[in-house]
Amino acid sequence: MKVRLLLLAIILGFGIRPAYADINGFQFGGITAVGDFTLDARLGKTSADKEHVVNIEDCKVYQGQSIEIHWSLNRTVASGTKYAVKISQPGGSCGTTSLSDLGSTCYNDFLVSEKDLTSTADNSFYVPMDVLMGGDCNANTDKVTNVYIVLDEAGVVTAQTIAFEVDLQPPAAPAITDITPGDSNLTVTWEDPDNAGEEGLTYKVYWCTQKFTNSTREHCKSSDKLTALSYQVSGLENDKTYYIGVAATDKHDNEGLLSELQTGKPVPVQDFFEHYKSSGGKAMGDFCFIATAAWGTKSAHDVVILRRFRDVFLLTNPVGRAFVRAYYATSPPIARFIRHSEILRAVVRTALKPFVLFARLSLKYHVLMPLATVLLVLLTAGAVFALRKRKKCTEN
Amino acid sequence: MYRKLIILPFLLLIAGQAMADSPRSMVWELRFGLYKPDIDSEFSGSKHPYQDIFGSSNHLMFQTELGYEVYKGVGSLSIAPGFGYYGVKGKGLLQSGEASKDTTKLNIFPLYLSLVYRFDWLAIHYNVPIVPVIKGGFDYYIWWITNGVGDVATYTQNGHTTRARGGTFGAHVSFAIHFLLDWLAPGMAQEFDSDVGVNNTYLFAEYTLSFINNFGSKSSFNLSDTKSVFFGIAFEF
Repeated sequence: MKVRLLLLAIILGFGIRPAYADINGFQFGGITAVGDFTLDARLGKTSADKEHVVNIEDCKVYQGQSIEIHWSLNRTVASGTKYAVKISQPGGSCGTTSLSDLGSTCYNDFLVSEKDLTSTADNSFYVPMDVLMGGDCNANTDKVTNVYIVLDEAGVVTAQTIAFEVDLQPPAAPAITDITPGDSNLTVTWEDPDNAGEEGLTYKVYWCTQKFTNSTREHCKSSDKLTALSYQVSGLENDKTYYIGVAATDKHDNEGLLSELQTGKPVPVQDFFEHYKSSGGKAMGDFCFIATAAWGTKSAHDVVILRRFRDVFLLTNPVGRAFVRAYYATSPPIARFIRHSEILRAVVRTALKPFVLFARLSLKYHVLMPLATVLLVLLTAGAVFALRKRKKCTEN
Repeated sequence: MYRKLIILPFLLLIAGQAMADSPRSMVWELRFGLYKPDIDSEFSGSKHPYQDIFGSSNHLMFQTELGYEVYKGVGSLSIAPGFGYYGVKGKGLLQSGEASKDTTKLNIFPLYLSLVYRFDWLAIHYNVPIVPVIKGGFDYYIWWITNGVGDVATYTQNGHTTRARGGTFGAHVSFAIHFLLDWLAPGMAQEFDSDVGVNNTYLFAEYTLSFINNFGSKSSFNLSDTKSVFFGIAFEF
């Protein structure tokens, strides 16, 4: 209960009013731009939108412009019904008990002075954006401006509020706490106590080989939006100095100022494989045996043909993959057996020549492979069937 | 006291009969153990790159296999394919030889095919809850090594670049002792069989000697370990 009261007090204090139907049958019809500029989606310009936000970048685009707000009623009204439209100052409110009252924190003029409601459909009014936003995009404030449509229907006054959150307050700059060098990378860590508790906060890391500022950061490379407080910048050049900066972005896409720039220099690091190989280790990254053993080198032309055949025709279908698995399972002992005998190697090279020819033709005339695969499947199925039949006959 | 002594043989008989209740043809094992590949043996003690990066401790390997029993008579014989995973992390080395902050990782994905003999004849006929097991088979260990940014590491020498991933063939032999849990709770074992179909459940300890070096190839990682001990659970169903 106490929490609910507190929340209500906060909402009333900030002057936030949801766009709910205080006016019976009120329907929000959307927002359109008056003139040649584009409204951002966060303004909530469609009729289904419930939230309406203006951020710093929007403010710069909307300065000097106007919008048109559309509305309607889904019912008939009594004859003689009148309405007016008011707008509050940012953070303020207007009187909603009469068509003529403005209030001390209301804008000092009506958007629409008292007039007859001649139609319940397709009504609209204009809102100058400088009035809505407060006129200063560098105000560094986060306030709500309320637009009120006040209806006087046979002496009964109701009001519909459309709230616009004008968030002109960028988040504070984080502080880089550590830059750890690695091989072609720098791991950047930062803290952000000034924005503690702010929801929807993300960060962006910028890096350049020269110093940069808030106004030139766009020329640097940057990360995607991050939620963590560290990031590894990779693809860098070892022993080269990089300038790093981090900026925070709030949930309304206001990007704050850069942190103080720090520098870092990636350094050469031996991973395990490099350390192993530089120690004289002989292991190669390889999966293939027999062909390499027969030709003595992975780069022999026929070996290359067979490998390409494997990659193009065998590894791209289940039958081929099964064959490759069987090959890898059975080939190593054979490879070891033939490796040290020139005669055996020559025999195997000769025996594999037809396969090399088949592989070369298949790579050149792709139609052969599907036919060969079908043939192989039929042969295998036929062999299995024949064997089973033979076994059944033997059992009977 | 005497009543308990009289009843006990009948209880054991029931437990023994529980083992023979439903047909059994497969065994699924799940095991964990400590493993360390013998990569440094390639250097005959003069260098030790594995130890330099990953230290000298063993690390956890996980394995699982599913065996199909092809013979059931005096004991049972099954063919069991399996796979597992082993990963160990370490810090890359700066030019000074000191550890950097970059993490490098060796990953191994062992595949294997075993022939498994379980001497469960005493367990089946005389309710002895201890089952010795011996296994032997072939292995193929797929391995890859990552560098400080998580990519597969490479090594370039004389303009030729080698990627740090491959496969190594080998063989293994294992000796295990399986303890039949059904012996402790025959009623639960019976329910487990009738509800789920699991005839027998074992806890086991297994000693494995693996020889994973492409059958003695000089140009291969030596991923052998002749001192691996695994612990696990097995379900026969």
